[in-house]
Amino acid sequence: MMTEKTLAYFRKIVKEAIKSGKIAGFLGWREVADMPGKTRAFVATTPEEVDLLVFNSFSRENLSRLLGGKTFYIPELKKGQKFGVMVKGCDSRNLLANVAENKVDRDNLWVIGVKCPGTIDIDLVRSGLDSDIKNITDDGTTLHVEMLDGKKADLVKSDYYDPRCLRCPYTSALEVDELLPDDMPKKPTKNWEKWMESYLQKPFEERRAYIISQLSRCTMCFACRDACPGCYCNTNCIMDYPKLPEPYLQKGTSLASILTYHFIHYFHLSDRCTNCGECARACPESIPLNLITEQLGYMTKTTWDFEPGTSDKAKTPLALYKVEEVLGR
Amino acid sequence: MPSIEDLPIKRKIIVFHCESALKGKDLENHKDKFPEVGFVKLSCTGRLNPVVAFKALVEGVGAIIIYGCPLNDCHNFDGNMFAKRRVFAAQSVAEALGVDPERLSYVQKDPLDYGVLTREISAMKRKLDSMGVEA
Ligand code: SF4
Ligand code: SF4
Repeated sequence: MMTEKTLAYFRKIVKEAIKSGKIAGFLGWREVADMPGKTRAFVATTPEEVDLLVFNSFSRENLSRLLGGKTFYIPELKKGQKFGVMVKGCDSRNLLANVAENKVDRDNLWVIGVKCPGTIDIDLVRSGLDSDIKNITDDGTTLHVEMLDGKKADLVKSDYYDPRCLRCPYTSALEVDELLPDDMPKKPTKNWEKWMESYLQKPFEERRAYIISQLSRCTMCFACRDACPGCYCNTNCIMDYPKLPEPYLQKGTSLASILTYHFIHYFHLSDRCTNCGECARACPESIPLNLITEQLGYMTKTTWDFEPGTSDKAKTPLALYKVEEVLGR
Repeated sequence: MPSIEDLPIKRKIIVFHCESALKGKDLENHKDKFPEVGFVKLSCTGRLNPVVAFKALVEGVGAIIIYGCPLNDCHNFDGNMFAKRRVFAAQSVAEALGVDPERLSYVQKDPLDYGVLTREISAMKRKLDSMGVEA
């Protein structure tokens, strides 16, 4: 939760930028009426609309996917004008990766970064309650929940973090134009690499049985693809062709087609996935897709010593090779 | 709902090979020796989309071998280098998705050792045996 002071400061600088014509609009999060525990993407174009912008531990959506690739939110800019956007740590990595791939022009952007306090997995909160949530607020250590049946509950916040956020090594936004003061409560952290190593120690058969039992629920809705900021093919995705060259790819939900679809997605992302978790978040079947992306992140880090999205220059490992490999050393 | 039993494995091996790595008499010999193995010619291993290999694995092909040129001797300059990394990435994704990555392998021709591919095919056969794959 941002303090009032920082929120006021944030709204003030955005308002000034809009009034002076420096930016054509600002992409941030706003609260959604009747949907407690959710915020959604919102473009503020007038100073009045800026008062709707918020940032809290429910701002989970990754905004950088709206700036390039499938969804292009940037309006037409006058000469010298920019478009404002707010990013957390993970979003800033996706933004940098997209800049490195020329999907978005960094010169057109005015980026405000925050140090992320970790996000709350609202489905986890919901799963532990008898009734649905009417209102939920967060004071930094406790979640105050008001339920539809009139009961109230106070939950310990640290139990409801998105497990991926606990393991996230990049909470602070990278390479931003303006970094908001860090006055939010710190999240507990876990060592991501240690966790991954202990996961990989499990026998392959056990991991295989688990992930396949989860993936077999997939309905091929492609929400994970649509949510991914790294996905490339805009309208040309092979899964979108209504008449796929049978029987090469079928849209049916046999396990073979499900696995093939996920292979296509994650192979294309294998060296570019920043582990933002947007795919796992978007999945309506709550499939733990982050298990796949975290293994890919670990592979990229340990094999090629590369972390996608940490620089706006770097080429990804699959587009390169090392001289030592040529010489067979 | 689909289950893990929907992923059959058959005793079938496919070799995707670069047309410069395996050709002429060499190819004929391999075909004679392993009549049950499928040989698919590519213009370069760097031209192989790993999705094709993965698709074959989930459709029941027992093992895929990708056979390329020696690392510093690619007819197309650097196709085999990219292929090597790509196959490695594909193995990692396959492992994460619950498909045994050892069923996919990448081997290179060695100008001093003509038995590389033969040994790899035999190793894959033993691997399928140890997995209990029926003929
Ligand atoms: S694959 Fe998932 S975790 Fe990776 S960049 Fe795309 S949405 Fe984020
Ligand atoms: S979002 Fe979930 S159900 Fe939809 S295609 Fe992706 S994994 Fe399958």
